[in-house]
Amino acid sequence: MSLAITLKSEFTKTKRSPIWILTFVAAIIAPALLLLAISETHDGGKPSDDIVKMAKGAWDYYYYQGTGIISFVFLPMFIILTSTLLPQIEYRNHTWKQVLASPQSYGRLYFSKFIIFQFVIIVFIIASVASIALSGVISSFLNPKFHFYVHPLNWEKMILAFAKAYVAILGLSAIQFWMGIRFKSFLIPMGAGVMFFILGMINMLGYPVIDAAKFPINYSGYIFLEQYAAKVPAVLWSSVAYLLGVLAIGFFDFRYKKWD
Amino acid sequence: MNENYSIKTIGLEHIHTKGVKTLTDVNIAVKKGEIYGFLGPNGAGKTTTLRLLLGLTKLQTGKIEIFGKDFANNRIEILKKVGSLIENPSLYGHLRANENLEVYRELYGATKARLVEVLKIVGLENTGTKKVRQFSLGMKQRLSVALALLPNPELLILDEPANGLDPTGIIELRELVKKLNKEEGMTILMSSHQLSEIEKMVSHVGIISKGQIIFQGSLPQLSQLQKKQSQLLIHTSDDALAMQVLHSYKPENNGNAISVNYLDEKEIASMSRALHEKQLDIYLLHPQQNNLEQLFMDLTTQHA
Repeated sequence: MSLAITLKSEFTKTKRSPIWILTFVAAIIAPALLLLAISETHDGGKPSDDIVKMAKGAWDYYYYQGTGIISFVFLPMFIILTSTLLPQIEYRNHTWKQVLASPQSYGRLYFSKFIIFQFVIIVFIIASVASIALSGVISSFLNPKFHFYVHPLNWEKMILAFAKAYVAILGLSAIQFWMGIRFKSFLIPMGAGVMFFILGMINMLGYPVIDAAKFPINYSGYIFLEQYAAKVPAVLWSSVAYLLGVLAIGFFDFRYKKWD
Repeated sequence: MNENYSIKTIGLEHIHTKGVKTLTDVNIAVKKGEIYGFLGPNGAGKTTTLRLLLGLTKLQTGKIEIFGKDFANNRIEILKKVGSLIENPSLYGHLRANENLEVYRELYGATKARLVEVLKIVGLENTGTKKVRQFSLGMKQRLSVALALLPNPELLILDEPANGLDPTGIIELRELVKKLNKEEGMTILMSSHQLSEIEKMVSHVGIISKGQIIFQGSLPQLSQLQKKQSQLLIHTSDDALAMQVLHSYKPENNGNAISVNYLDEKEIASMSRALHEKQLDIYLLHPQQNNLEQLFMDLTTQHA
């Protein structure tokens, strides 16, 4: 019951904050790009290769492309931004002292903030799924040759893919959450997050320096790349291990941090 | 443990990370039902002490008892009954006034009716959809007071609550504090760097300077000290002889005049008679009575 009260309190703080705008705007970018990129005609008016790709199952292909872009780029970037914005609600308003002088344990407070963060991520994923669907419907009107309604979407496969992507970002979310709470300046968690994300991408796709399966920032990229399929189970376990480890360290840091 | 005290600190010491000692053996005792003025110049250690009382700063040395219970072991239970306003207003700018209170309402177990009531108390019940970031500093300060009152606390800790308030706001705050103390029986600890700001509402005073408590007692006790510190300046036709005549008053010759401490007008009269009996012409007989503000200044500057 007391955790529910703290959760409600934390949720109230997000009301009218830019977090929700960011969530819904970020969720429509990839589907909007899909709408522009997957077309039955090339610029010159000639038929595109996409018609062939879509023939086996337009929805499946459309969702595969959408979830691929989201989990590879948009989801990690969204986490980096949101993990910074959420604690900034307290820092920018100088409210930490009032929050910490209220009758709630440090544990309740810390984990409630983390749960709200996870809730925002899940809302982003659901909004992304819905946006891809809307984008697909619009595409079906714009591109009748794709025959969207011949083959139904493989929902189970799509939901499983998003579920795996979510588990894969748990480690990253815990790291970013810790940094967001730890540093008063939003530039540090955001800068570090973006930098490690780019370095991780280079390491994963271009110039491997360390084993990418040990670098949690880009784990969600594993889910949609065929060549990494065998590593997915290990990566998911690793993500959960990072989550538990970093969350514990982060809580310890939060509990004994000097609050100015 | 003494349950007659709302606040009792024992030997509080605090050293900043840079090694600067900010509190030295701070012992504060605030009895239930008191309005306690916590005074000191800027940087004296007021906010550090109040932050320690609320658990916002880690306790290094000493002990804090609130409502007769050890704070460290009863933090949540104690904080349920404490309303606080520390330094600047701590409010969410993107939320409305009622939403700011809603964030904390259930944490303190307050009802929705109480939320409306405290907004009325501070005169912010009609701010409608206006977001707090659009409020004036005075309105923000009043909303912070409303937040502090939300739990209907037994103890109210206000750190410089008059900051940002206009003269009318200060008078209203003064009346509110007195009313809460009288009608609700709230114990109130209020800090300020200006004695004049709070002397009309407090019953007890603690003065802190350079991290040390240099006075603690009731307002009458402070007035008594004020009288003790009152000085009489005397200049006669023979100040050396006058020094001998008044030696029982421990006079000091400061070059132009003699200064002696006095308690009341009767003492001035008896000194005058004694000088007159020795045929001394009195050129100057000037009582210098400190007001409380001057006394506060003297105490803190002497200590500095």
